[in-house]
Amino acid sequence: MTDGWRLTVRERPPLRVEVGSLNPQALATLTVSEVERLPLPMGRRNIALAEIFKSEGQPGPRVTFQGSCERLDGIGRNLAEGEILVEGDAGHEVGTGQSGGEIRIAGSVRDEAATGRSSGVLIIGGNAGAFLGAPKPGERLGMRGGLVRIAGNVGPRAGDRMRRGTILIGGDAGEACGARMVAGTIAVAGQLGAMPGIRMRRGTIIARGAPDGPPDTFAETGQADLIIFKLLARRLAEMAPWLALLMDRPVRRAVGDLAVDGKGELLLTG
Amino acid sequence: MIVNGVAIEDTFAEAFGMRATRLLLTADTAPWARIAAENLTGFATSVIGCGCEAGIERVLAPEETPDGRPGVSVLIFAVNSAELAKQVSTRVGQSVLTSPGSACYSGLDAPEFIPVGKNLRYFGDGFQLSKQILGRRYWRVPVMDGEFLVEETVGMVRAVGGGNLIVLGTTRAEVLRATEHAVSAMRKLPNVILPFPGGIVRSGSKVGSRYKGLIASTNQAYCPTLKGLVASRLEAGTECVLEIVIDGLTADDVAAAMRAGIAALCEVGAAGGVHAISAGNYGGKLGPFHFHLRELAP
Repeated sequence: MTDGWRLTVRERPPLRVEVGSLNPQALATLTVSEVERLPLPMGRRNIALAEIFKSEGQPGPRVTFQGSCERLDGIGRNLAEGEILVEGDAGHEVGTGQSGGEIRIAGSVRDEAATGRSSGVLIIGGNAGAFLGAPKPGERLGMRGGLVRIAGNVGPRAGDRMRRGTILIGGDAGEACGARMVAGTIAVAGQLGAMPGIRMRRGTIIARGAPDGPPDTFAETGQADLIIFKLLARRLAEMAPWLALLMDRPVRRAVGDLAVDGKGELLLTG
Repeated sequence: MIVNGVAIEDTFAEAFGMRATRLLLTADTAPWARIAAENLTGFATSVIGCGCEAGIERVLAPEETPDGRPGVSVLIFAVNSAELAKQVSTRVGQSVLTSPGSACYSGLDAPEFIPVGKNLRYFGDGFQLSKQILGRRYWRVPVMDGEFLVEETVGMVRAVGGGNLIVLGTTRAEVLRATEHAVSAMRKLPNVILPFPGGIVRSGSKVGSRYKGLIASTNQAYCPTLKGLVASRLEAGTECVLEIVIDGLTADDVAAAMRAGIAALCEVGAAGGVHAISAGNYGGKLGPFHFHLRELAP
């Protein structure tokens, strides 16, 4: 018996399917037959949930997706409370607009995960694609709060226009990580791609290294031994044990982007 | 009631409602954390003249502090929230911000709070940075040894101030030794401070004075040199009186500290020069908290 719904993909769908409506709150009052009849957009038409999923369980605080989920988009979209688990990979826009609760993806996700989210926890066991925590299309700000943890690598422009919150990346980050960042913290256990923090106004990007160095519009402020990052490492020790190792020595600090507000910082520990 | 030759008087300590906060101060080394804490809590024996009552609650091991460095936990008490806010900002600004390597965090999770970093950040003259970690905001103020890190606000609670024990005995040396023993037992307890020098006050006061404008003056009934002159509370042979004042986060904390103090004084006993234990009150009409000595006796 589960404490919520368990949705198992029968076979990989022929087109991408939008499943953003399947969260614990939305399914809280439905019977099995009502769940099976829920319409899900696939391509240009809607299909019944039962065409794709075998559904088991009952209303509860959790929804679990099983099977081949990489063509499911919008998992955990606008989640406000409760828990969503994916026992494998997931598609685009995971956790976009999330305002609470917890989403855990065992595998990797594609582009635009965590966009426009404001709170809650998103944990990704594999890699993430481009524009992690960036603004939703047409919006001015990216992620506005909460915690995102990725065990592997992320694609380009992670944290684009991020406003608040924390992104922890266990691998490497692609190019322009933290571009146009307004505030918040991005910590990368590995290396940053080209142009990290380009046009960032405030906020912090921590990484082991940046092979291309900070952009030219950053000013080096020398070696820093900053208490705030010892505090950060301790507060996030459970989520990112590697952070304490990064912060246990003075780090190279560059401040920028001086082409804009210039109050952001890039901390390179390697 | 006599325990080990010590008379426990049938009276009570009368205490008052106060507002309190706990600050956690850290530094690169334990001695520097203590220096910051001692400066912060200096000149904070009594609200009568200092604006607040403050003291070191205990020393914190690195694993107990927010940033993993050695630290000290400090409690500060004031008569109302506005005065507490003023005292905390002024004291942290002058005594902790200035102390090498220091950082200052809230040590209380409470629904009410007072600003600290929120005010002190302006020392950064526009170069200050804020960082929010898991819902709590910290200010990073650039200073000459790096950054002064201070939490934006600290928790504030309703607390109890003015619990007390009055120790009467033979000579100054013996009564001081016995009172020190009680202080050391009481300081082992959490959530309390003993704000006077070394935890002990020798100038017990009464309300008012024969001089206009003086709100407190010496309590002549307990002064051994005035025994034959005034309505003295001292018996023949009692040549020294010392007092311990206790502020605590709750009435239970104050009672626990008084209980520990009375037990320690009784342990010293008449053989150690303690004749009696008394307590100060105002007839029970001013303070809402009454701690009856005989209920706390061993």
